Amino acid sequence: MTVTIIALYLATVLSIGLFSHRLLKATGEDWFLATRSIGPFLLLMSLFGTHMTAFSLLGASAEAYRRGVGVFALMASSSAIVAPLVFWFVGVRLWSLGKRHGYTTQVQFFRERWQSPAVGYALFPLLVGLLVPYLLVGVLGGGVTLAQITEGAIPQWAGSLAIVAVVLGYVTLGGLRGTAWANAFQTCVFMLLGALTFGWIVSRVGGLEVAMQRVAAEAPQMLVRGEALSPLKMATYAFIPLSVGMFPHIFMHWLTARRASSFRLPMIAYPLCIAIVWVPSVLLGMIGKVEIPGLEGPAASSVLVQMIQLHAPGALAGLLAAGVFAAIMSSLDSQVLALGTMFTKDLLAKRVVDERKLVRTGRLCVIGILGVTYLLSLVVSSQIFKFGIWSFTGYAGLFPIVVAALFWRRSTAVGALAAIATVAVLWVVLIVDGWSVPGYTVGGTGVMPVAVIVAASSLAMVVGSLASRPPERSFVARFFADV
Amino acid sequence: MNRALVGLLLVALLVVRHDLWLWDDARLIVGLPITLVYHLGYCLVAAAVMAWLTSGGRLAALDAEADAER
Repeated sequence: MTVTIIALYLATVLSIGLFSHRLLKATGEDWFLATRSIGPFLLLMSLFGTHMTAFSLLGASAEAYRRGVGVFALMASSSAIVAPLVFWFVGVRLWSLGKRHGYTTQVQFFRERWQSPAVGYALFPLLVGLLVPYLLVGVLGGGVTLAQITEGAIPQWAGSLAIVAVVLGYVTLGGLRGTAWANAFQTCVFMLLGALTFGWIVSRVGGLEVAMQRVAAEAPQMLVRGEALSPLKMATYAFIPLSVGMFPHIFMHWLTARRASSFRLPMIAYPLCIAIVWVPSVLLGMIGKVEIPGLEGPAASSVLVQMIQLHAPGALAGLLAAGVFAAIMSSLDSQVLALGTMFTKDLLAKRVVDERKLVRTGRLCVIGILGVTYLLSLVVSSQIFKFGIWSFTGYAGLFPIVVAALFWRRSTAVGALAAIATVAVLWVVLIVDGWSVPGYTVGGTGVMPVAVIVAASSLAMVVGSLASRPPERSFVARFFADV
Repeated sequence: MNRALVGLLLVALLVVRHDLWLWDDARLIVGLPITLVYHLGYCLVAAAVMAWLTSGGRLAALDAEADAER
């Protein structure tokens, strides 16, 4: 039953890609950016689906199982306010500049903004390097989850292969339009199935009030933050969602908007969508604490899967697997397409004007990236999951660069290069320092590493810019007109 | 739209996310932990603030400018 539901789901997603292929105009602009024609609803669904990974279903419940209700305040409500504000202050501006000057990638924009190929060369490996572990987490996580849900009937390698094959199909066929459509469908699926799973399990344990009264009686520490979280950690965690300002896949979706007003719905609905996805996940994690007490390590990470196996094996397990696949693929597809676009436009086909050749190169890049990711997923250790938060930390550390590019006329290429170098060095230093420390904060102070990196890269940007020659006013003016 | 007012409102919104007064409050309200109810409300307020922020003329002006360039 579970396998049938998953197969049906994957076939549906693939058919969306096939259908979108019929509308493809075979131009670079259409394949890479859907001819900048995406309206408000599709934009919301693609941005939200791309940003929310399977972590918001499985990881949120696992974290709530370990730390209690504070997980929502820590991770969800910070994104609920910071992400839409980044869309407003950064996303709309980048959309406007992208439309006016014809940008497709971040590297194109930053290189031109500071008239410096060196900025592009420095930024490209960092943007790509931070995204690769993120891709691996999706491919490996999908395989592992499927193996758990089917109790080993589908091995991890097969689950990962299914994810890679389906994403490969609809991304190469439909380009960004196919990806946006599939994203919208999959985002609806994982939101609906998350709610269905929640409703079903809660009804099986006697209703929400009964379940939470039991949590209050048997595990009261789950209802408060207490020692599980420090106020300083909560404050500095709010830097993490700044990463949306530098994610290549989010940048790509911003550029696809048809009009500036297409951003309005995503900005308003984003906090509500976050609540819809995260509240059920957090509550299920808390209820799991009294339903299946004593889970540690990887077992605690799969608390949601275990709750489903306990209360609703069969059809619901299949639907949850589909929901997890939806969450994984709706991020993976955009990440792969963004990387394919960057390799094509920034590296392999910088000066190619033949539209068909551009699309062909883009497709080959997507195939290559997915192929390498799959092969790596077969050999990397599960330690790769630790990279998730570090990937976000690295992108957030680069956020001052986009802020300087958009808001500070005096900023220079030297400042940008200093900020990029600072992020790279500090990221490595802190990851080495914190790799084996669960819940690592800098020096055990409660300060998240991301706050230190953002502060240091901001300082490097300012000092580097002021220490170098100011840019020509007339050139800079083209990036500041009425946006 | 007054920029100072917008700035003040956004800073206030970022500050009130830190509900320190509910840190160790274990009360349940309609079956939900009180801090979760607070943060649900926070999400609703964030959506309302974004609705207000985006209701000004900036997006329409950008669209008009893009139409004029076409």
